Amino acid sequence: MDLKQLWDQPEPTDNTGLPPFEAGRSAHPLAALRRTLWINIAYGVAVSLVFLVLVVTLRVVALSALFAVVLAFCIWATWDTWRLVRSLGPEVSATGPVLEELRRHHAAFLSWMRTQQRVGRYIYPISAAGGALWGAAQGSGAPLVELVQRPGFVVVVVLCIALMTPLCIWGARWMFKVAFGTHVDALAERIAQLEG
Amino acid sequence: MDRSEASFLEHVHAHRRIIHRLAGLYALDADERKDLEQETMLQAWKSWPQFRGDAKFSTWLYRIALNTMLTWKRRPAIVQRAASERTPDVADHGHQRRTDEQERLHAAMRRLPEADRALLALHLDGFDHAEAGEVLGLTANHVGVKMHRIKARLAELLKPE
Repeated sequence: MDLKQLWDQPEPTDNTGLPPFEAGRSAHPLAALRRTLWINIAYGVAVSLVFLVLVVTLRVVALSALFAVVLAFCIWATWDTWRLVRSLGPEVSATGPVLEELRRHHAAFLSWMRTQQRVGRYIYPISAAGGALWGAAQGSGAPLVELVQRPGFVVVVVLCIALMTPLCIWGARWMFKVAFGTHVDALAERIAQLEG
Repeated sequence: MDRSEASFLEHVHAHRRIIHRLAGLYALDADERKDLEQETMLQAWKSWPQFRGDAKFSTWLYRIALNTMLTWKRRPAIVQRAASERTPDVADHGHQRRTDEQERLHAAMRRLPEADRALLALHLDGFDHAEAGEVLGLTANHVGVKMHRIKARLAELLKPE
């Protein structure tokens, strides 16, 4: 059979196939990623404000210092996310070749995942330490200086950091994999197919 | 150049076969086919103000359609369901069917890797190696080598069992 001739033959649905055009919201993954990133930015701003209030209002210097570090990383992470949003075009390219577009999408998703992991590496241990110290101070009603002198307290805080940090990093990776893992793998596969 | 929605729809309507056929090659079910068609039209509409007419509208639309469809994120439920079927049926719109030969070609094309389907579709739609390479981001030589492999694989798939 002549493939070209066969392909050129009209199909029954060629003339009726397209759905009516609706200039609505894009369902494309890049548009979805941009929406997710905007939500992340909103959360980043809200969390930064909470930490700012804590830094200013807390009277314990050690806690204020810890929360100030977390605040600095929150601001950095929010700024980094905003940079990523700006670097992503809102729509697929009408001029770039397919291979370039696939690489751009793949890089965008990986870049977001890397940002999350970098944030995790620095923020989670500090958050865990801050949370443990604050929780202990609130729960016991004792001042932090006295708590730190109690036997085993520092060990508990270190254990808390050692447990919570990998758990949070693992959780973040798992959420990324559930949300975008299959898609990132599919993009990588198509890139390999084109390059091969 | 007329940038109105009416002019855009007129152009898309004249080239609707490109979107419809490509969506048929990539969609895993009839709903996803409609989603792909709708999204391609939306992406084309967003880029419509930048269309200068330097390239042919069909080439411009082809590029947007492939860029949209090959970067599309599938819903996990569709992927799982499709994995259990050999060649999911995406024919829709009532009881009209393709001819048997068209159906065989379509089924064989859908069994090729996704990037190869794009290359084959470009070839069947009359793009030469240089033009197809430009759309895909490959050299003409690379396209030639790949086309040779794809045709051999397609011939195997089209052999009667």
